[in-house]
Amino acid sequence: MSSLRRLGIALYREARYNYIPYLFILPALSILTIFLIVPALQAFRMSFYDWKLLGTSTFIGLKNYLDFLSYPNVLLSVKNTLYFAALNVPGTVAAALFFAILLNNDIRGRHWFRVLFYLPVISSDVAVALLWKWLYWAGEIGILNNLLKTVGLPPQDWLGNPQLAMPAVVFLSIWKGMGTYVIIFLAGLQSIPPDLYEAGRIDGAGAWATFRHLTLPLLRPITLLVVLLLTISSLQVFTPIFVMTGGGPANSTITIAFYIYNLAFSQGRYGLASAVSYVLFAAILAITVIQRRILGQEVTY
Amino acid sequence: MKRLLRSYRLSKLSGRLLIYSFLILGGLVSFFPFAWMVSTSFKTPAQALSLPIRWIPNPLTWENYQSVWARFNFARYFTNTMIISVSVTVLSVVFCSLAGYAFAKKRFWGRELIFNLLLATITIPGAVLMTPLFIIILKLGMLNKFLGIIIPFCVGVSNIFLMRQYISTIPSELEEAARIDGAGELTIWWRIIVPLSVPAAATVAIFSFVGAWDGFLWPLIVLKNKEMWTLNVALGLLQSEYIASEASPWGILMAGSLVVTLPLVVMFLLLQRYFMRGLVIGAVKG
Repeated sequence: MSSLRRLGIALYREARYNYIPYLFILPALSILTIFLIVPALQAFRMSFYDWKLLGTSTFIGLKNYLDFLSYPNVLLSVKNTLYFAALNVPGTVAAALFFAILLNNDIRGRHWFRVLFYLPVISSDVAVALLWKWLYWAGEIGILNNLLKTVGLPPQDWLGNPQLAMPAVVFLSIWKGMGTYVIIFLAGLQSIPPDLYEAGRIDGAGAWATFRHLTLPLLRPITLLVVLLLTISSLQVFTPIFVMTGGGPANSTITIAFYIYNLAFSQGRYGLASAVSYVLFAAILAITVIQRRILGQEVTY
Repeated sequence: MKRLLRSYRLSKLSGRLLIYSFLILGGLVSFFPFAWMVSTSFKTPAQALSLPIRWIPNPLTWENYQSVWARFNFARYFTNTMIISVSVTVLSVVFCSLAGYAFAKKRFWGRELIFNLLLATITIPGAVLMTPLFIIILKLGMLNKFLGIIIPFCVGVSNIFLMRQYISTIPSELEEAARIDGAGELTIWWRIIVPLSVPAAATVAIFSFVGAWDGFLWPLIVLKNKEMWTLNVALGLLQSEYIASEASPWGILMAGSLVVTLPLVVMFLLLQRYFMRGLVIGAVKG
């Protein structure tokens, strides 16, 4: 009771004599509350309802979550999303780390390489997805197949083959996302003191040993941060799917975000969509927590 | 000894050669799709489908750009996207600067609590917000309006974070001096904090602009009326039917893609410094 009273007094003092800071954070805080925190909580509530946009919504308990297991394609979308993440995260990390390490040498025109690698990042998602749809175009007129032909390989129906469609989308995603992480890794590499490399060289460490025992451990915190950011964004992949494959062929590229969009805005299953989204949220939270454990320190964005 | 030194230099040289070849290869892979985009966008429909593939269009035509701009109404969508992106940018800079200043410099009850709560919201995936936010926008009468795009996404938590980090490095003596001179709180923010935090504000502005320009899923949900579409929505929705209906759709589609992408690329080339800094502030130092 007394602590509650103290709180009351503190709040009164703040309101009376120190209200200005609250005015400063008011616009940002109210927008984030109305358009971020409230809807996030609302989604949780909706996931227990058969939610109707118009008319009365009925409480149905856990039915949406149970439907999760039986509704067509839900589990498939989860599987596809995990497949996307399993290819995209290591692929992007490896590519970005590779180019960052190359750029960390005394490279002439380093700046322009960074610019070049960042070009896909800055480009519109929709536009590059469309561009790659054209690059992957089936038949000889598709430039990729055309290149394959000149080196004597058979053309592929990249986006029309259920086996190839997801890897093809992943390749676009690596190409598009890599630049950001090249820059982040490069900044990390440059913060490693040169004396450490000097010491390694004196001890007779080769290039691989230096990478394995010096660079990699020192980059661990940044690598984990990158893996975390990439995992979160991979689990939410939407635009390339919408533009390039529409979830096809044979549902091989339906992802969770794409599926939720269709559930809500094509089928009007708002409650189920919310339940699926909360499972996604739980997965992201779990990954964040696990990675913080591994990291053993705050992840800052 | 001399021979050893020479072989060391030689291996170093071949190592450098290898490094440069990989980098140039990577650079080409990054760049080559854009070259193809530009090339296709200047081709006539017949040329875009003709073999063998030609990189330099002959004849070179502006027709794709003209039809994208006029027939497909991209002039309108360009204006829409610009209105949305500029509004988001301005609001974002003002609101995040105000909040960042308070979180960096002011003492008040609940400061850490509120700030940490906001930071925690970063993990909320967009998919969770999709449906309930749509309903809120509907109830607020913002459906099919630019406001429905601008307001929900004009405050980014990471931008508040970035402003707070930067503003906390500004020495407090400056504000104290102004306060002694009788300046009001808003004046102190406007006359001292804002001018001294321009680099951080520029980074926030750039990332807000790019984020708004690049937005797809949310405008797709909110802007049902064709007249209100953004460039991305138009491109994303028109492409599938156009590919289905035209024998040679790619000249026009690549022209459209270029119209969407070019403003961001130009902006990036002009303001690279701020982009790189923004990425690194966010990731390395925190």
